[in-house]
Amino acid sequence: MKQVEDDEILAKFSVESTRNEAFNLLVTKYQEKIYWHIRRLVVDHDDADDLVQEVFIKVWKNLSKFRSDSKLYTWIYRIATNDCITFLNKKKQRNNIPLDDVSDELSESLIASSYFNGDKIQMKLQQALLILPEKQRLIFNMKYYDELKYEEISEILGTSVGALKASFHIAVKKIEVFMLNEDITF
Amino acid sequence: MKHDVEDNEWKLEAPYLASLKKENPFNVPEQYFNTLPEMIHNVVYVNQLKEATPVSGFIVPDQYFEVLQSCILAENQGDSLQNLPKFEGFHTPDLYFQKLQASILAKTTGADLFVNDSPVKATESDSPIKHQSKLIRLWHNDLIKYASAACFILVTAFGLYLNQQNFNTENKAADMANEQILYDINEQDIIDHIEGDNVDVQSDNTAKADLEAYILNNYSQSDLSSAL
Repeated sequence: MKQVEDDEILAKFSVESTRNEAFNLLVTKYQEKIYWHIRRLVVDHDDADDLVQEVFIKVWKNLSKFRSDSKLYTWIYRIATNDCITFLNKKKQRNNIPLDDVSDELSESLIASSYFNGDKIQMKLQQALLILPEKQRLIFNMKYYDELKYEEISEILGTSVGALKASFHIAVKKIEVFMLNEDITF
Repeated sequence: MKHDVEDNEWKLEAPYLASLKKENPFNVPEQYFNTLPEMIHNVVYVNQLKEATPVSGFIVPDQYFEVLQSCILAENQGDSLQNLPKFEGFHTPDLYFQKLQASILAKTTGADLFVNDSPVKATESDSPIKHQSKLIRLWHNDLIKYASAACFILVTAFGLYLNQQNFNTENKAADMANEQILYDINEQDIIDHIEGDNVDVQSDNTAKADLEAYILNNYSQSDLSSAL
């Protein structure tokens, strides 16, 4: 199925009579990307499901204010990323754990999840990701899985490309060490 | 070209990670992405409705939440009372209930109660032996019957006699009291009283004379005779 261009979606959204149709096209186009972006960060499907709905509610409310200074999908990614960070922070506060340490809880969610079908190596990779600081994990996911360019990640996170490259390389090294450590098995 | 170099640089630093097949280990429920757009539309619609009607329309009585708070606190205190162990502080003598049961059984069925193969004796106060009261008939003899009637008549007659005597004594006392009043009144008072009565008579006579003079002055002889 041919995907509709962002400009066309925006043009339709600006007209009252075609607003719903435009939003439908937008959801169809980006739902999976946004879902997987969120899912990799929050791990649990139900949390991801709630968040993806919240993200699209915000998109619906604010799309009329969107100016084409950035690409539409980086704008939506930014909303999704901010919502995920807010969600994880709330989770830390709710469970009274340090702000930079939610890995244990996410790890438990990962092991208990019925919607994970990876093998042991995949499980180990996900565990390695969970020990990363939040921002490194975010950057790694966007670079490794979503294959976004540094410029696009920079636009989403508001971080310089140089800082992103450094963070990504640190994350990669940590994961490599973790993966090659034979003492850690699942 | 530049991006490709940048994007692949990390593979040199992490060859093991680079060798792994890049795949998504997570999955979603069946048909999830087919139903997600509709779900998002519903959520957006509900959200719009919520924003369009920010006020629910429901109101509560004045001071409701203050009263509610005090009610909840009162209930909590009630709960804490309920959680206290229920110990009344009263106690009974040893083996009271066994003795009570034995006594009830003894009074009702006459059976003994056995506890641990030994009979439980009821207390003395609970003894089933009844003290039969002796019945005495009051007029079982004719002599007593007639004597009682005679006594009754005598007592009644004596009572009436005393009553009559008492009445006569009271009358005599009243007469004597009246006579004594006459002796107690001053003689001059009696004279004044009688004269006072005469003054009334005089004034009466004076009134008749005035009337006669008035008639004679104002009416002629012929008027009077015709009127008579």
